[in-house]
Amino acid sequence: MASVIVSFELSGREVEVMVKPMTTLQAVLRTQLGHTAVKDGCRQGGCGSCTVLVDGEPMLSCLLPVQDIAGRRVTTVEGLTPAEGLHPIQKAFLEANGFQCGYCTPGMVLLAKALLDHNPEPGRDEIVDALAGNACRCTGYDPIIEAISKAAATAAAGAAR
Amino acid sequence: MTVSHYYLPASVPEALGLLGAHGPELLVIAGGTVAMPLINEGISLPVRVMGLRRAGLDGIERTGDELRIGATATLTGLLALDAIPMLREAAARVAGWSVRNMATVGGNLFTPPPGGDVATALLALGARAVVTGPAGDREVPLAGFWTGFMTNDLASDELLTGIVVPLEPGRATCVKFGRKQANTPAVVTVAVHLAMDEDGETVRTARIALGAAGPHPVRMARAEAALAGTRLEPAAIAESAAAAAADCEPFTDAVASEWYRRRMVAVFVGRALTVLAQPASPASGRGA
Amino acid sequence: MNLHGTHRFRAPRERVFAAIRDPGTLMAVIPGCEAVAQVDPETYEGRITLRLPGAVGSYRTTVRLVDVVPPERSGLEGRVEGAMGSIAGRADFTLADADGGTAMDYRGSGTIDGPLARLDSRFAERLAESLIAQGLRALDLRLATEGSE
Repeated sequence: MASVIVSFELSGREVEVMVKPMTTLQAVLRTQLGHTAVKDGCRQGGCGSCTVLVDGEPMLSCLLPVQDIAGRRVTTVEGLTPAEGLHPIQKAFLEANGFQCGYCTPGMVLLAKALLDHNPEPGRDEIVDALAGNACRCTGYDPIIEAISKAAATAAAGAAR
Repeated sequence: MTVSHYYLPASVPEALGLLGAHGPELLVIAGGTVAMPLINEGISLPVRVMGLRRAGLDGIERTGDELRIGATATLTGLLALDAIPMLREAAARVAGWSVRNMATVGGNLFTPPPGGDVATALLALGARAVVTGPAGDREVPLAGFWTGFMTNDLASDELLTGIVVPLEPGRATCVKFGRKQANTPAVVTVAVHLAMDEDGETVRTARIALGAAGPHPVRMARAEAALAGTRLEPAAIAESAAAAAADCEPFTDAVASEWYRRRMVAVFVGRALTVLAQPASPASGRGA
Repeated sequence: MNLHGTHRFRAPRERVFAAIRDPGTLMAVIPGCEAVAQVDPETYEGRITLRLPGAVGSYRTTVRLVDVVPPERSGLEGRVEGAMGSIAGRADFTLADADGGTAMDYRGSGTIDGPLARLDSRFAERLAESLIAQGLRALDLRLATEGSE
């Protein structure tokens, strides 16, 4: 079967990969591009640990043939992390103890980014609804919700100054 | 992966051409939320696949008193609509945010049981499927689109290209009961649309659709008839709920047993109708 | 996997029984059937292509009639095989006179092998029964239309 070439934007740069037809974005990001913050959990669309942002909107990379996102902008946690220090959302997760094993965390952080871009002041119900597709086995979810509320509050305080 | 060719046609004619060239062995995929888990798991081993994301079928437009939804419009796209609150209620309860950004309205018609919450809502809204083949378009009322367990009315050279939903005044609601609060398959889904008399209080006609209580979403004729001419009194609601529970054909699977589903049909038809019996308010959740 | 179903035909059982043994009829009524050939008096080979949500596949089928008592009952031993796995088993059906028509009752059991075996067997049963019901409806319609010519 003939491979195909797909190019898309990752972390602000254009990347080009050669893949067998229907290779998933998850496989490309993890094994060809080294973005292992994108996790490999269920491959069924049930756990959410493979969550990435495509043009700023959350999608499950395990269900997404990379050919479908040719030319689009893909964001992983690697793309969110600045050259120095941490993104404000990452800082908020750290301060709120919003992770333990860390497996669900990249997905949660990216969802938080997308949520706050849509809605800078989400209520608790809106945060819960945004996270509904992502499973966490460690924290019991409250610390994650806390972290996102914190990130929103910090951003609002920063904006108000 | 067994796939040797993955096509992404840029138009419906191109897609139909590929269907014609490769026949029933061509796997058609839209949002990927049904097909990709099967492919990832090694249960589905397709050789040629056609993805519909670029075929221009994702628009939603309102024309007069109808809503025309493209087959690959996403569930998130449906959530942005004001026109039919009940359809929003149905879409909001499907999976999680990421899946809703990928899953399509058309694809929801093909979701194996117990899935298809949006399909159930569409059935209660009197929607029609738009099917396109080499000879052009035809429309099929949704009730006639499903022909059995995982089988439908599409010929091997046809594609589902859209869904038409009439915009009718009335009272409507959609209730989904699952094992969890969110991101869960249905134990049972109940979608109701009531057309009211001029007095606004008497039911003229009812459409009650059930999901996860048959081989595909089904209408409950006796339960609907029990409401006609009534003012949704408790006795009428009880009779309707009992009829739905008796007539439906639920199944046992990993989510719930037939026994439990049948009982939950009675409970949730009752609850949906009780909500619709209340005066309309934002709190009543009674999107018409 | 265990199957059970019933069906009513408008045609009398002699015609139903004969139709079930006729390759041309089988080709017309079995869902997705693309080829049927009778290789000996009791054995049929064919190919079925099924298009299901998320999965399409072609299956080679081999069916042998056993314990044949026309027009009353027959057994079918068979195998359906494709890339997604195989199903092998036996089904038996009986035909009884019913108000000028025919009442059929069938029962079958089979074992599933390969990737298909990963599906919940209840799922596979419901799917098989639905496809069989579709075929029997098509047969009823065909016999009723032929009869009126």
